[in-house]
Amino acid sequence: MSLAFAAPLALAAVAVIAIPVAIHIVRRAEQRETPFAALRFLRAVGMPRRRLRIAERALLALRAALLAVLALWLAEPHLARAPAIARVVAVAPGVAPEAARAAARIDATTDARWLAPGFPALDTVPPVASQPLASLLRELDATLPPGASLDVVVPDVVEGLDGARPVLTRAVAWHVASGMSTRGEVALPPPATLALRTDDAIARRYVEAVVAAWNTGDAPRVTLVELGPQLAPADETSWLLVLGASLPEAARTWVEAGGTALVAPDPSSDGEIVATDDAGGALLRERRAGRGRVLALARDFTPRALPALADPSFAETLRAWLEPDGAPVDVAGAEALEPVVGSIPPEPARTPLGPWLVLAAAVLAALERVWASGLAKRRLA
Amino acid sequence: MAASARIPPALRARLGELRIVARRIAAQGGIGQHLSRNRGAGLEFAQYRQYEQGDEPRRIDWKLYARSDRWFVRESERDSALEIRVVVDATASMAQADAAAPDRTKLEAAKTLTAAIVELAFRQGDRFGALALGDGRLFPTPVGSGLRQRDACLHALEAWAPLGAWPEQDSLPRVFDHVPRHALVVVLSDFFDDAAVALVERLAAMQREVATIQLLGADEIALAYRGGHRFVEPESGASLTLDADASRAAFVARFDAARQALARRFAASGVRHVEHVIAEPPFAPLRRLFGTRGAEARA
Repeated sequence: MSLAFAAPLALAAVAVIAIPVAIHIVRRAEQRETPFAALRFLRAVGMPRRRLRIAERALLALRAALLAVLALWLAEPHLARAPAIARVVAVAPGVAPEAARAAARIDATTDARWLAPGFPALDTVPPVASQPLASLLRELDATLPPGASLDVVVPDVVEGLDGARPVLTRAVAWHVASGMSTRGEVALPPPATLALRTDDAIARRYVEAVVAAWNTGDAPRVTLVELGPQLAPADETSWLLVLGASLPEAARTWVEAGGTALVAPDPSSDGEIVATDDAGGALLRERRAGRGRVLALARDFTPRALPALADPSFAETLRAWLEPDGAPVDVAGAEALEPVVGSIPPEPARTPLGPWLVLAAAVLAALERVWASGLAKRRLA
Repeated sequence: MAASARIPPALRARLGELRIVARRIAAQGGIGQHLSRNRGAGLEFAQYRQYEQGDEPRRIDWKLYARSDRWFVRESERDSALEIRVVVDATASMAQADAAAPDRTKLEAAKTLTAAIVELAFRQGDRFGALALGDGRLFPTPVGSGLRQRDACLHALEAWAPLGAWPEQDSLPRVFDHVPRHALVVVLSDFFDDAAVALVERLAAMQREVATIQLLGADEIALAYRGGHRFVEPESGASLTLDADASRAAFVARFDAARQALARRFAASGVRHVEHVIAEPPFAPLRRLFGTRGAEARA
């Protein structure tokens, strides 16, 4: 516990102690005339010493203490918990303790814990991951005192993510230890592939822009593959775009095997309406084809026919059309997940001393009054 | 202050233990109020007065009747054996008071003592009067005896205030008009002024019996001031700035020596001299001057 002030500048109010001090300074006796009839027997032996004389020192001390307490109260003191922990190493489940020790230089004195609910010590049995890693990281970051440094040891592949880098209050030393994933043997999702069948150069430029937009950030990369006419897409292809043409016959079997194809323009009126235009007309219809599906866009894939194409959010719109059930990616490579500093630290736990100071000031004020009135009575008597 | 309150009750209760006795007469011994030098004459001529009905015929002055064909009565003052006078220093220096009691000045103490002496003289049936010297002048009360005279004296002394300086030398002979020969004079002063001491010595030399009470302040005797002060002499206005703590020892020694020298001087002149610290009860100096043997034993 240590004393801290919320408004340290208010301590300057202590300067008002000068007021009672000025009141208590005795006017120099040698400046007053003292009638003295037996002056003829006096000889000037010593000149008056020049020193400050203070009357009623006890009362002055009481008054000064009262003002000091009030100044302290203005400064809003509180008892803050001192940072007892200097460095914490949190090890994500899935990292072997030995690998963690090597990666983060953990010795016997280091406060090493599992990144699991309750943050058990590293010496205990490795827990099973049950909460999202980002949530645990935020919790640990918030509970640590402001000055403590945090090391995190994670495996190559991390799960339980927000879809973005965790934002913490402090810089984190991020160690990637080779080991298992946090949830066991889970592979990263394979890189997606978008096959494009078009002869329209403008449409191709838009698609290239969309893919470039998808590939920013930490999301898994998407590869764009040009597909010749009457050619079937490869088996690992995720989606097929057919722009300014009809669905090639060779691609139908690929769709029926479970693929997703978007055809534009396709003014056919069968299928379930997925999206509408501004006027309320059907913009996108979805037809089932075998195990796969065909998305029919009613317009041309040009900015004139499809104004949404020029929207900055079109890349996400198209992704949502192609991948309606796409859950946010919560598995990522550990390097991509290194937390960033940005969130505001929480208010540290502290005990305000204001009420006690007010109490002390009240007691001092009462004492001062009793003392001063007693003094006045003695003077009168 | 009302005249009756001038004498504190504690003092009034013990006045009966006091008796003003002239030393040279008392030395002869005897009985009665006072043994008078011209005892047997009994009467001292004062004035003639028109005869009024009820006057004793034997008091008519027949020789005067023979000359003027009118009846005059020889009126005389009863010849008291003792004339008592109180001379009070009422100069500015008598305003001195202790810091503990700023209202109890030396003059106030002198007034209390004067009232006590007047009361004593009244009880003894003596002739008495009082005289204040201050502001360069004399402030006499009437002289006489009896209740009315006592009240007149007590009333007059309330008007005295500590002002100015001692009267000039040429007005001092008038003091002797107020103090007849063989009178008992009690002089109340601080005797810091040489003129007051000189007056006492002259009174003693000119066949007056003199008793003196020197009024002192407790602060004065011990120089009970702390630190630096600018001391101002109230009569001359002279001032001295000094550190009381550093000057104390030398002052106390010098002041004691001066008081002892004064006591020796008065003793050499046959003056009964006592000191009175005004913070102390006023009975002590009166007892030392006028105490009967019984009172001294009790005190």
